[in-house]
Amino acid sequence: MKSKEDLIIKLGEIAADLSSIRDLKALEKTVAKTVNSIVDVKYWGMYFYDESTNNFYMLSAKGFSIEERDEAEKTAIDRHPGWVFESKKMLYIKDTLTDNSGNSLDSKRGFEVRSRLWLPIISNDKALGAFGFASIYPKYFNKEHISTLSFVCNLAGVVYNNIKLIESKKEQTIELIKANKNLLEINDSLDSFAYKITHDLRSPATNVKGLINVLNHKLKEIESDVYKEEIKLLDISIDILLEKLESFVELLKLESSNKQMEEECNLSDIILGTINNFTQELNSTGGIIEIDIPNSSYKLTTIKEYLKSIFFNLIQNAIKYKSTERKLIINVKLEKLKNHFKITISDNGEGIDNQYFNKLFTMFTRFSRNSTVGGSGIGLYIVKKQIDTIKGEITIKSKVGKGTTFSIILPKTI
Amino acid sequence: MKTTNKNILFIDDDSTTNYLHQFIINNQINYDDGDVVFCVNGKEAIEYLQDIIQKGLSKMLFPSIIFLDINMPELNGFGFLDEFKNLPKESTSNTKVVMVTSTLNDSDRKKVFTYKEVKYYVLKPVDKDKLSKILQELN
Repeated sequence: MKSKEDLIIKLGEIAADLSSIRDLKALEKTVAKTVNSIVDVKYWGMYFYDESTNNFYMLSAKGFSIEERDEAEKTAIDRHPGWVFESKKMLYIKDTLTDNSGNSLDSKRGFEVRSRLWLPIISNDKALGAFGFASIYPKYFNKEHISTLSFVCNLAGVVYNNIKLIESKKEQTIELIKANKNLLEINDSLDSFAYKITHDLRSPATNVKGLINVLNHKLKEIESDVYKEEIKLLDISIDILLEKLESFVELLKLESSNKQMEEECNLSDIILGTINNFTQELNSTGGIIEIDIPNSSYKLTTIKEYLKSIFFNLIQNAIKYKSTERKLIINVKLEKLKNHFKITISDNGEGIDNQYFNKLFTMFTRFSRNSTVGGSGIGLYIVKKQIDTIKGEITIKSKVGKGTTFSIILPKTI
Repeated sequence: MKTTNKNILFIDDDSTTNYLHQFIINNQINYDDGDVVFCVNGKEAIEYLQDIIQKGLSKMLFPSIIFLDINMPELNGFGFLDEFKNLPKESTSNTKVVMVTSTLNDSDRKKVFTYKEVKYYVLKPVDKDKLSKILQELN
């Protein structure tokens, strides 16, 4: 029997050894070394319970051949390790020869082994396994052995739990990373899938448009009005389809995860360039655009494509929702403020009722008293999103029957 | 080497597109400055051009304008341009290429102009106005 001081030192050493363990192999080695320094026995077996197989496996053993280990693992749940695991109580047979409890029956070692000790391995009040020791001497295990070995069992239990926790965390993280990667790939392929579909749809749509032109031409040649109305409606339908496709592509670009490039833009040039797109249309419908843009080159760093799209959509809307009662006049004004630029686009079109303002920039809403005006209802939604992305603001003033004014404020850099 | 005829070659795998182009050029523009030929993919087009060269008929038959689609099976627009570069310079030096396509993404747009034969790209549909304008500018 050691002195109290020696015992405490010993326990300290055991604790130090066991708590530095990070994997099961190290646990096995250290347990073996530690147990050997505490008791001198011929056989021992440290069993842990595996929840996935509902059975025990031996982490550490002494005196077992490979076949014996296999056999022991298979039967452990029905024998002493299993009982101790269930009861969470220690079992000590002081002398197998004189034991009447029936616990020594069908022991593989027969009576070669005279004293046996089983300790439960518990952590967080949960049984993790059992540790059995067998000596050829009767009453071999004394109080000190039992306390020290219990100490080892408890610590080993905590360490084992810890290792298992870290392992499962690692697995979870790997699964999460895999799932994330999967999602990104799906997202990417959905993006390109959506793009591909839109592009594949554009081709036949433009073909139909071309064929309608051919039909018109042929009918004109024979000076026939037959099908004139139907062809006109076909033309309108296909224009709507093409417009919706364009909007959809723009929407995809907005929603896609790829960040758009920022560059220095000449604001005046962009506005004038966008207005140019509409000169032909305005000429044929008799509308005019008044331009109030100073000569200086106003530069700003932003997403050029979005700028173009914003002005294009707003002017297109002004043309689309013009009044049937008067000639369309659009006024585009560009001003420089302290840290911002302000662009005002006003028209004398049919105007929008105030009660619809908060719904104006949502998807698929259109407010027009003229039912023949085509449109997908995505335009202003895209405009708002684009303005948000380039950190700008847009406000609207409107009066039904008078016209509408959109004011856009853009920061000089994003 | 000057071509005596201003022949046009259209390369597109879509039969409706070819029909439309054929209609515009024959019925609306009434083009009569040269032959108008249609091929349905890059490979067929290259074989057609090689045939002309082999028979020594470049002066008469080689196209001075090629309208080229990008997305085609077997040999697409870019593949055709790569092969075209390898044809004898005496035949190809005066030929100008116009890319015709229903979509043009950023990478395609950049790639298109790395070929010096390509003078324009146009988005479909190519209508009478676009086509006459291009023919005027290139001829």
